[in-house]
Amino acid sequence: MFKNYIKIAFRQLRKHKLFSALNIFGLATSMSVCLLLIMIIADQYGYDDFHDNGNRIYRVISASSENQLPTQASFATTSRTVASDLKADYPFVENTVRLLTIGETVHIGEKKFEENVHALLVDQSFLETFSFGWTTGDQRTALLEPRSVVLTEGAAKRFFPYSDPMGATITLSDLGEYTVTGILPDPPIHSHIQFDYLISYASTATFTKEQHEEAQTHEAYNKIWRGMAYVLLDENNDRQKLDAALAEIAATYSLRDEKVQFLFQAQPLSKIMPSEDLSNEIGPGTPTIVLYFLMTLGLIIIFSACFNYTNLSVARSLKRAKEIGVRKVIGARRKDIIFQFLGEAVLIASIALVVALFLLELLIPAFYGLDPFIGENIHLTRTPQLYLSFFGFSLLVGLFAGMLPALNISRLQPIQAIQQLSNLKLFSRMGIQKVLITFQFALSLIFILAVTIILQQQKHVLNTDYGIRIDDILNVRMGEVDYDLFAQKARQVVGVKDISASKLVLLVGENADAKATFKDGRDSMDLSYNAVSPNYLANMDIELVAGKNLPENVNSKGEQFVLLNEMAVKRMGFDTPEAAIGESITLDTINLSIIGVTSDFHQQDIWFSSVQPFALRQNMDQKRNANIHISEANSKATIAAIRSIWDEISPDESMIAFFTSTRVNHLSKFFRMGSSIIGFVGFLTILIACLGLLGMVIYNIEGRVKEVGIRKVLGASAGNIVWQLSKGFFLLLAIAIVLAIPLTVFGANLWLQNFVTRIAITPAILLVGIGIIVLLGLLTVISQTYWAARTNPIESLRNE
Amino acid sequence: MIQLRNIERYYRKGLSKSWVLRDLNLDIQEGEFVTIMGPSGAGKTTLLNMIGMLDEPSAGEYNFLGEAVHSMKSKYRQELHKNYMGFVFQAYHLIDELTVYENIETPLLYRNIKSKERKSIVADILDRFNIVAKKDLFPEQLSGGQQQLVGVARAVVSKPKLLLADEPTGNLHSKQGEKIMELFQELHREGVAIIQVTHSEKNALYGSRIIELEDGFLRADKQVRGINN
Ligand SMILES: Nc1ncnc2c1ncn2[C@@H]1O[C@H](COP(=O)(O)OP(=O)(O)OP(=O)(O)O)[C@@H](O)[C@H]1O
Ligand SMILES: [Mg+2]
Repeated sequence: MFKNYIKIAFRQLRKHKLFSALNIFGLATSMSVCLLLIMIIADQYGYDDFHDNGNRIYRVISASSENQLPTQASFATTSRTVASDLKADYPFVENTVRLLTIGETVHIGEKKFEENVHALLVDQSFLETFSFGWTTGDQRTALLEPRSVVLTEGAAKRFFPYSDPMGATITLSDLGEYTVTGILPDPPIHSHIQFDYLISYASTATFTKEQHEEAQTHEAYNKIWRGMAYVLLDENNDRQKLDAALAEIAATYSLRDEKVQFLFQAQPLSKIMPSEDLSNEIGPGTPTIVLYFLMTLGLIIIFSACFNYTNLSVARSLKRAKEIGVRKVIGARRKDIIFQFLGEAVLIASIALVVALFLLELLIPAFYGLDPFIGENIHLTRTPQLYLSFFGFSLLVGLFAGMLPALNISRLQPIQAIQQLSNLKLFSRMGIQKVLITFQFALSLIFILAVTIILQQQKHVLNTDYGIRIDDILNVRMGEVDYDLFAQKARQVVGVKDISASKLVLLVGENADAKATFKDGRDSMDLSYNAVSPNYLANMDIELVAGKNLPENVNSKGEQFVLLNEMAVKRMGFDTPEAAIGESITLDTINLSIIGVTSDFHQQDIWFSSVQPFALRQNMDQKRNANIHISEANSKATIAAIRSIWDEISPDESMIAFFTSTRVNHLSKFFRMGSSIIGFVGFLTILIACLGLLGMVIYNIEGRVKEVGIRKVLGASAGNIVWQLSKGFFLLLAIAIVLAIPLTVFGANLWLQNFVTRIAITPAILLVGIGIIVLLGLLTVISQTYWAARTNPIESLRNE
Repeated sequence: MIQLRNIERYYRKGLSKSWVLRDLNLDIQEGEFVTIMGPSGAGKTTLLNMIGMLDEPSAGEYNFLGEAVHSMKSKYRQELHKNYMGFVFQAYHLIDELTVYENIETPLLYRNIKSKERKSIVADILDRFNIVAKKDLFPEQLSGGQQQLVGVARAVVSKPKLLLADEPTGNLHSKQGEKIMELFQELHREGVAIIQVTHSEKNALYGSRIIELEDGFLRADKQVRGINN
């Protein structure tokens, strides 16, 4: 029987080439995208599944607050005393691991390693709790002693290409010398914990405060922002006990600290990737919401393609009614007919899968090409299980797509099917098809508009004047280097226009606050500020609207003057900027005189934060950043020259520098990616919708060939007939547009609310989208109806 | 084998009923060869479909082999239909996508007959109907007479006790029609009950009994001594 179904299905495919081609092509394109999404999701959900005791491992995540304690942890980190307390007081805790990340330059003899030297400070229990494997040395003691280091095989090869690393010494730039006590394999790609070498946690006892900021605080119960704690429970794996223990510990800590409340929660290892949105994450930390978003897109695409299959099958079902009637008369049960139709759908889906697998191989490089960021965080791997899941997916798609036609057509009464085809009401006058096609076109329009709006918004944000220079500012972190010395030398470089000093780099999310009080002592506000050199205004192109700039020299009295922006003086109650000049303001405890007022400029970032009251203070000893304005031409050479000046002054420390515009545009990347993904999906949706429409029009015309013939004989013009055949579809397009527009406008406005500067959704934007949809729809419909109207009526009538 | 008691069949047209069969009583024995005749619109097809369980009476009783069809669940009725009946249509109604061989094989597939047995049964029928040479052709490659031959072969391949034929020769030349009738007669001799609808007096004579319908009423019911009988 099964063989028979397959055979018939193949014959159907061959006999109805157009139907098959439309279906296979539509399904295959959509499927290939879904396969890619399956790969991405499999990758993102495939983390941390290699640990033998994985189901018993938890990470302690935390939150703290001075007021209302949150119910949800917000940090992936926790205070590491939680680990020691759990181990000491709760017998069901088999083991705990403390973990701290450090970034140090590694020195081995004369050689220096700065890249790919991610290190972790971990307890010996790290090696026993997790299953990273072991290569050389004694796994049970390697990380017990202070000053022990265990290398990954990769690091061992890089550090000691010609000698045995065991027992050798490595030197860290700040943290001193360590002896190699073991080697273990490189951590798998799908581990949220990544490292090149491990240092024994016991070493922290030997650190001085100068060496490591954690030296004294790592055992402080109230420092929850750095370092992780992992817990391995005993065989009973009683999560509730762990939750209770953590609540107990949090309560103790909250009592101990009078001001701050603490929250500790257990997070199962399997829930770390993909993650809840936690700060201080050490892994890739792809938020679950991103994956849900991708899944939704995938579902939309595949449903759309399934609808097409359903649509075309329904359109064809009238043609097949006779066959079904006959089959029933000669003994087919409803079940048999359902199987037959599902079988055909599954077959088409399977063929589509084969095509989709080819398309997928083209899609993967294109996907990686979208952005380098993708390659860093997503590692698509092809496993037998993956292909099995592909097959399962295509099976589901086939069943889903074939279900409606199968259920419907199998319900046919045989004598009706055989004898009274003309008044057969299979699908209530094609109602389902109309609904589906309308839905697809509405969706297509929504996608087109979404892409347009995202791109417009991005352009708008980037082209707005923010009152501060964004382009061509290279910020250099000063570290231990003396700013004045560095600036003096760097000024001589050709291509450097100016250099200013600042405490913070604006527009990249850095912030400093002071409590500002003015005239009326009771009125105060939190005022954000930056401390800058006097040439900052000119260098950053910030306009001075009243008063004078900060004085060139800070005199012996210390900090005296301050610049405020217009918004700040307005907030203080001055009617004009001029009125504020010479007035005084107190920042925290320092009393300052307002020397000038600048125009408003953006401070935090240009996307989501609006302009706030802001102060520019005199730069006393906080020249942490050099803002170098360089000319666009030859910027590479300029940067190289600056770098060599740096290396001259500070040979040990490498220069950390970045362009403000790069950071600001960081989000643009997500916009670009978002809009290319949505654009791509939109393209598919439109393609599928047009394919569906095409199929529907073709079948509709087939059923009306005789009518067209008669109309022509009666003298209807070609245009007349095109209109007759097309008008029904135009109506569907119109309904789709009417549905899509309000939805889009509503959704887009909701999204745009997130931005401080945003575009208005103008009729022009909507009209472009509508124009595209109408054009495509018209082309699809008229290409077919026109052809039908051109054929010789005698032909079609004679065939009857 | 078949007992029809006070059978009525009507279609509702708004509030009024339009009658197709009225107060019909009829008994048909196993192995009989019955011909239903009557003017167009008399209700012949309706009656045949009802006997073939493709249609249901609006009122009255229908017993088939002692079982009450009128009060039967549709699933069970379908099983009866499947196990005892074969259908031949005026317009052949072969499945276009299937070859001659496959068309004949399909009823056996729906009856879950093993592949080996199926092959031999189909081979026998092909042989008997003299269409072995045509077995791999598709319906559109056959003449009308040949198609109807396949139609009959398909109807009898599952060894039905009752063969129902609605104007089986209606679309055929008289020569081809004769061949089909001779085939029916042969089946009749082997014990298959046959009910056929025809407008042809000559074809009616192949059977053993003629029933005449007019406006849904049974007008006449007579035994005949047919050709070759
Ligand atoms: N679905 C239906 N709805 C309403 N009336 C119907 C329906 N099917 C059949 N009829 C009517 O029932 C009557 C009998 O139809 P039937 O097909 O049984 O006639 P017939 O004797 O087979 O005629 P013919 O020799 O032309 O085939 C006709 O008047 C027809 O119009
Ligand atoms: Mg009839």
